[in-house]
Amino acid sequence: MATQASFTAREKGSIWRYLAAFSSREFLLVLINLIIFAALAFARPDVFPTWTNIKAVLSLMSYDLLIAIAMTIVLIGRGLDLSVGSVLALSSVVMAMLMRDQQPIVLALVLGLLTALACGLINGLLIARAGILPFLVTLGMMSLARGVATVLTTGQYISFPRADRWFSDFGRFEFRFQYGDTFYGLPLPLLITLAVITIFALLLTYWTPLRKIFYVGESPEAAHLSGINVVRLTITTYLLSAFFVWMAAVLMTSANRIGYANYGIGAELRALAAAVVGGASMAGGVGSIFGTFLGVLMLALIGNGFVLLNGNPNWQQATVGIVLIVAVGFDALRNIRGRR
Amino acid sequence: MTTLLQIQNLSKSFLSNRVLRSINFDVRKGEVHALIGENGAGKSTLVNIIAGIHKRDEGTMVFNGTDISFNHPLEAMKAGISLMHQELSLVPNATVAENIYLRREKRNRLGFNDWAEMNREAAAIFERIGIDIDPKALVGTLSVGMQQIVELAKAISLDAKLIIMDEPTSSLSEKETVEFFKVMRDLKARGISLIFISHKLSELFEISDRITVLRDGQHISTDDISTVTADDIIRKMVGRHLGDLYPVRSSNIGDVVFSCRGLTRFGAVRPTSFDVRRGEIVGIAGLVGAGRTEAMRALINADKRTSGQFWIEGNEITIGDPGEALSYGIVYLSEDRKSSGLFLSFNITDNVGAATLDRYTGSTGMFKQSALRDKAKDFIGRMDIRPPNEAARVVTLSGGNQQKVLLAKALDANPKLLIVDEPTRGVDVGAKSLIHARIRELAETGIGVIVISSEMPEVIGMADRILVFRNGGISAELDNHQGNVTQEIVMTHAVIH
Amino acid sequence: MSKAQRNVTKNTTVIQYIGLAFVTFAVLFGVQLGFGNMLTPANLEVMAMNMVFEGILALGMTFVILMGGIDLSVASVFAFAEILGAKLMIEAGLPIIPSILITLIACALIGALNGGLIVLFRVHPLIITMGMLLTLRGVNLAITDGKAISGFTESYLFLGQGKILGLSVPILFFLIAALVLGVLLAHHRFFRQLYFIGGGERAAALSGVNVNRVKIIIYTLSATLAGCAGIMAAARYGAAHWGHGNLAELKAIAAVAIGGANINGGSGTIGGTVLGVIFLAVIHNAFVTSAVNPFWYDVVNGLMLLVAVLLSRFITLRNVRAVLTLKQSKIENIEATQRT
Repeated sequence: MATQASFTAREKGSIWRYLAAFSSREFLLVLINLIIFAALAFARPDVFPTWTNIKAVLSLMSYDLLIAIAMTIVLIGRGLDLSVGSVLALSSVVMAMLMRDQQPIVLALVLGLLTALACGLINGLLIARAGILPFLVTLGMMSLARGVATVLTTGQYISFPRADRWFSDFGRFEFRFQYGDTFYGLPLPLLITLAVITIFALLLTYWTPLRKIFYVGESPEAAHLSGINVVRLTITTYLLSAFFVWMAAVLMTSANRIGYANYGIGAELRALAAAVVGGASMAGGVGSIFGTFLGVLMLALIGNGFVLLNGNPNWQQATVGIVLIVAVGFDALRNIRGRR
Repeated sequence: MTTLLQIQNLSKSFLSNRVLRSINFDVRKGEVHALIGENGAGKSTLVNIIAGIHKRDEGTMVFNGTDISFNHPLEAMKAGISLMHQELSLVPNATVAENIYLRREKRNRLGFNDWAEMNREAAAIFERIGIDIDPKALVGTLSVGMQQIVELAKAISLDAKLIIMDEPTSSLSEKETVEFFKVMRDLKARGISLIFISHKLSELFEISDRITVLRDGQHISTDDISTVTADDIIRKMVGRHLGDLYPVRSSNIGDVVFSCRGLTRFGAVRPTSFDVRRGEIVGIAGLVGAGRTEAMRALINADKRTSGQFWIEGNEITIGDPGEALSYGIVYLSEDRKSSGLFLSFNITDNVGAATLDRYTGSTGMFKQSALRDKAKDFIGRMDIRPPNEAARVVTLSGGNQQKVLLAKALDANPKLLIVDEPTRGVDVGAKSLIHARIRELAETGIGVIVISSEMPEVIGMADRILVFRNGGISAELDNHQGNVTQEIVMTHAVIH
Repeated sequence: MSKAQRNVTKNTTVIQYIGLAFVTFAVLFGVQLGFGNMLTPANLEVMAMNMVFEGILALGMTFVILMGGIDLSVASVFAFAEILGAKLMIEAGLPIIPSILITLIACALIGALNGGLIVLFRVHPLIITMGMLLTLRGVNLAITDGKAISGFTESYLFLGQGKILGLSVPILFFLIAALVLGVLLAHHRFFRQLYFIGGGERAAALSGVNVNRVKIIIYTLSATLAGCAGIMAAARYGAAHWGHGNLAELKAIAAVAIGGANINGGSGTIGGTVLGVIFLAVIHNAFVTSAVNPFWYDVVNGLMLLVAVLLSRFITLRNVRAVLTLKQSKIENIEATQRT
């Protein structure tokens, strides 16, 4: 259910049982990603397949990935969170300002998390208890959070030169190891991101409290009658979204060494595109972390392709939009041919 | 006495479901013809066919001397047949005159509405029928009664010769009903024919000339209203052979397992009280709109109730939400399984465990998929669910199998009180028997069961005791241990006199 | 329904308008008293010009929302019109009139595409127009390389900076457009259908409304209006830039919501939207005049959207209660007769 497994696979024996954990859509995305990878490796064998380049792609992906995961969780619950980019900015600004004023870093991080969670809580309450459309609530929050961030910083960058070095360093830290003649660096933020989302992916499928979110998204009425606390779980999805947004804020603030009110502009649309490509639907009840990962990866590879093939990098944004429309259209036509 | 509409041998099926069989029906010019029947008797389908919303499969329809076969409701409208739905189809933010002339607005060459003329003509119509409504008012600001009259005015402006009204007075106050009947009589005097569907016998006797009874898709009788009594009508509505396809009734009824006192929901449920005993099946009968589902939903507080006290196994409890109800063993299965019972995109396994997810959870919160899967397989066997694949998505199952999955979900929750709302709606005969058998078995294990059903034979066949609902509450409690409650008795308590 | 209750539903809209006007004037005069300078002709002009382009977008948005849809792409169409016009006139050297015509036709086509995709895929307009927003914004960025285009002729600049009858051209356009569209919405047969569709698509279709055709036409109209706004905006700023109109769609939606329209469709007027636009303009200017940190504006914008939405929710709930009261008295009355 979490990944809409192909049910005929179970008959085919043990190996298929594991592969059946992945849906046909994910297989398709893996394939597409491999094709893009191969095409780029063929087109620019000198640059593309190098570790430097791949590392750069994956690192840059981290932020988008975390925000896309945030969006995915909310989508699974039949919601929508347009405030992710703005809350990232606000959280980043709060943390940077505290560190600039030489507060303990841990305190700054905690307050940054609380800020994000507060926004998520407001979102969740207005949506689940006041019954207002998620689109409207998170649209308002988007404006609100970005506005507060701008007010706090008057549009300036907030740097924190006198805060403990370790925070700024960890954003750019890499584990170095040697394989043969060359040195490879594995960025820490990337590892953290992948670790967190892997754990979360497992939790989403195998941890009962999170598994219920799928039920809420698939049919809130049936979930309600089945004794599932729809209000509480809906609020939870927005809190979880806020958590992942905070993580992205931490990584971004650390790597860039500034807090900035204009972080994450347009992030919500990219996140939505990646999540929908990855299999999530605005109708709720479906979505997977791995699928979203593949969606983000695909968009990242396309972006990288633009850069390497000397395509105007400015076309990247347009491509994301087109990919979103195509993915949505594809899904829609598939549904029209009869799902329900 | 000329005939306006003559229908002969009309039949209609939806998929494999025979809804109307060889109906003969006629309407005379200038008469008010009442149409009555139980839920599912076929009244709505019949009038929908007359009004061009559905097409008949067989039979002839002659209207005003010509054979008719409509492809779209607009064609019927043009021919002079107007249908007033139960759900009004007026546009709330458009004016009265605009609604009357919807899509036929008087306009100038550029497309601008000629309000003056529309208002004038609308006012003329209202004057003719003797009701005072401002044509410039927004329909949404009018009372329901006035809105109904606007619908009538619309039919009049369409030069309707036949107006069909489906339960027009269900939302009207007494005063508004009087006004409405006044208009109806006026229309009648002008030679317009009216088909009037209702469950309120008193009204039917007051306003109609003839009355037709449908039952199970068949035409039972058409009589002059002056020649029949309410009892006659009731008898005709339910006079079917019951058949003995039901499981043997229980002889093993224990003490009270569940009690409810003063269950109320403002605007939907009058103060309602009842008990359910172990091993007993309580049937809840009544017509649509009587408040049966509303009462049960208010019981588990799925819709917020106004008041109510509850006891389970002798202990008083509060039921704050369906989850709390489940924790006490009170399980409610919704009447609309597709929208609020099943998770259509999910497979059988995930549906079976939907209400008991916490039970398949380890101490750390980890979900025990295999345990649930085994349980699902077990249910598939016990309830003969086809295809017997626990990973099959529920949306692909037939109605009967879907209902079985829903029942399995309820059974997995170890109910002490099981409330099943319309257990066999949309279910084929074979699955019906199986579901009935399972429900009776369940009762035999010592739990209390409430079955809400709109199918009279089902209620009488299954229940040890029958609560008849009417007007938001219980109108009668009937002992059915000997199985000798008649359909007439139930219907007598179900209709509004 | 008693006479008192009946009149309540009608008067709610009137009350909303009066309330809105009252608050607007209160703020206006309040700030004037406190800080002066609000009511000078110069300041009124500034106030108006600040919201005029969003206001034009809001006019088109009113129609879309009335119908039960939404158009998030207007901001990017706005920028696109700026850019396309600039490219045609400055880079390709075309005369003004043909450039404007081609630009408007291009915008109309984009709108038609929006409508067409929405109708074809039967997907929520939110996601289609969001995809279009992303795509078009990306296109805007790409074809300008992120740089502004300037160098318009004097006669063109008149369209944004000139005055006719003492009013700036854009303001005059807004007023005339509002008047024309308002009249059309109130009196023209085609536009009245928006209320029919908003009141229930299926019922409308059964009544003979060609829902798909109307949708496509209205989305085309929305985009064309955005195009008009863009053409004048480029003239006003003297330059076309891909970032112009950022968040304009949100301001447009806010104006429509504050003006009393139901976000789900079925109710609302052009007059209400105009009031909403004026309200937002006054508030923004009040900030500027009172020298409150102007960055608070976005915060207030977000808050006001939330307030408007909460208000309409409150009204919906009140109507529900009224219906229940009616049903309750019906039940009691009938029960009384049955006992005899």
